[in-house]
Amino acid sequence: MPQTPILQFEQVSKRFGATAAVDGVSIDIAPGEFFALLGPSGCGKTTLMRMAAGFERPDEGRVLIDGADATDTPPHRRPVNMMFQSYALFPHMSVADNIAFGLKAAGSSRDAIAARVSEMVRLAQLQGLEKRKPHQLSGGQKQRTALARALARGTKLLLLDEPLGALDRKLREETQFELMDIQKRLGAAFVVVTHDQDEAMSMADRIAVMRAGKIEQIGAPADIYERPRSRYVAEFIGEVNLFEGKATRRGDVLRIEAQDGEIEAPSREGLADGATLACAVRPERIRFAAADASGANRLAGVVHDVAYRGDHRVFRVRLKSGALARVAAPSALPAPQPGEAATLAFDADACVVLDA
Amino acid sequence: MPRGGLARGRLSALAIPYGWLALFFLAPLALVAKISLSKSIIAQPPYEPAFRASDGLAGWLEKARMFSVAAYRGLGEDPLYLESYLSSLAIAGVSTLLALLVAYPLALAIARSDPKRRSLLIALAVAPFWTSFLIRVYAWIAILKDEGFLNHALMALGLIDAPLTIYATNVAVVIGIVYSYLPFVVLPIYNSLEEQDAALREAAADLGAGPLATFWKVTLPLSAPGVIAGALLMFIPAVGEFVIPDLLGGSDTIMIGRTMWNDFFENRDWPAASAGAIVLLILLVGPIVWFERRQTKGQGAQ
Repeated sequence: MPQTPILQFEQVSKRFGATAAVDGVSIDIAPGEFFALLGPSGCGKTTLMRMAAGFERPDEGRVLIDGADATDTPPHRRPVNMMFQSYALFPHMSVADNIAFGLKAAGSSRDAIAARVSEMVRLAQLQGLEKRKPHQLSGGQKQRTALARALARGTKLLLLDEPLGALDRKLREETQFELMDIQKRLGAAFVVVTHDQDEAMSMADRIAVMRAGKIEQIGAPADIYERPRSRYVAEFIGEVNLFEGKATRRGDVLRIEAQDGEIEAPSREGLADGATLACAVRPERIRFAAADASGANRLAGVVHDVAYRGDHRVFRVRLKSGALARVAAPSALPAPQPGEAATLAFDADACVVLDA
Repeated sequence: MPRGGLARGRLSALAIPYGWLALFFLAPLALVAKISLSKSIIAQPPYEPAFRASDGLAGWLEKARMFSVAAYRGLGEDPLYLESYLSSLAIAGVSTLLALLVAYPLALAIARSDPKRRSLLIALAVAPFWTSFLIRVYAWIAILKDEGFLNHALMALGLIDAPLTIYATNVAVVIGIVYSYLPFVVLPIYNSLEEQDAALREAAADLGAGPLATFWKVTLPLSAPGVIAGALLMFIPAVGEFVIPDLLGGSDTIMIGRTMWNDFFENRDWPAASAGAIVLLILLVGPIVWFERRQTKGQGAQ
């Protein structure tokens, strides 16, 4: 028997006025899982998280925490803690008092509170800052205080609303690893709301990509990156080249008559013969081929410009149709210069077939 | 713009408020202070020395020697003044506490109401100011007197058999002061509540604090600046209140404003009344300075 999910959304919907912020969403999140709700602002990811915390009541559907229906449980009775995007640190309390707040509310003994606070201070590397007030902390210190406060009660489910959003870039990367480390050590389930696909990809075990209140796709980061189920997901996560055209099936092979050349892609069940389909290819799956190479999945063009990224270079190549294709190639490999003609090549299995 | 011009521009901008304060606050205060150091006589004006332009500088210096602290010594010897100060502080203090108890829930309710309705509710809270203060205090006489609306209503409801004597007592004075100063208390409390980040209350709830615990530990402490500002805005003028005790109080209601009024107009002892005013000012400056310090510290903190 599979273990009970720590958090379940069952056909949850929430409307604000005429707009559906969340529209029939169902997700199961396993204990100890690092889960990311990913989407642009306004896609409903924050509303979904606030329903888990109890700050919004779903109009339809149920929210279950550890198998128990929590739909009508007020926030202060839910075995869930949340780290707020603005951190929401109590400005009149010291770092230690902020961390102790949830423990005091739970009625723990003085000694137990003191022990737990110092444990959290160590975990979040806040030693020496215990007596500071929030306004005396740097952005990173505030973030760690908010995290320590949310973790102090030791709930098995932690909600994090854009936990790295207010940090600068360098700190953000460092903190990503810290968060992953803390999550593994504590074994609690983390649900992170983010609009940053890199953040979601590098931290989460699974990602739910949201769009206009609905789940577009749920899966492991590699799954979502390599096998996007829709154009929206393909374009939202990472860079992608899309080649559109009329498709015909020949056994295992699907041929797409794109403007820039003929494309061969693996066929699969349920693809309509003669329909217009798109082939999505990631830039790193495209390589430069010899000029005289011919056949399918060979596209001719002229190098428009090159961006040097250290270990690799990103080329933009102007194709026949006028579209710019992106090619990412290791910097060590020989490559054409801007203005030179180039032939792009990719394998059939690099192509993900999507509805156009 | 050259630096000098900028400095001059800033100076002239500062000159307006400072000039205003000097003309309308410091100058009258200096006059009162001067009279408090004078001697009461039966003349016009009823004190000496009286400085005249015709005296010349030498004459002014000569007259300045007549200054004495006799009026202040007189205050110390007059039990009426001590009693007036204590009674004023007590009445203003009780009134302020009661006003806080009424104003806080009112401000909280407005701050938590639909944002679209807040300005209307605030306007309603301030609405009494649109009517003359004096008329509103007179209205309270009609409400509180023995055969007034309140007693009629209570007797009609069968809650009391005989009318309650409220009018012409200290209770009536307290009711009048609480009523009159309530908006001054509501507004600063409302401001401090309204600017509180709602996420703080959510954070408290998220950490397991129920609504009551959240109020005591988060909402109330964070609104302390508003509570203190409201209390001072009310307490300070209430101590020196004259009209309300005069209209609603009884013969045994003693407040410093009335005592000074009597000295000015009944006894024509201007130096004694002026000394009383200066002592009152000194009594009240203490809490203001304390509050100002707290405010600047709080601003530095943000």
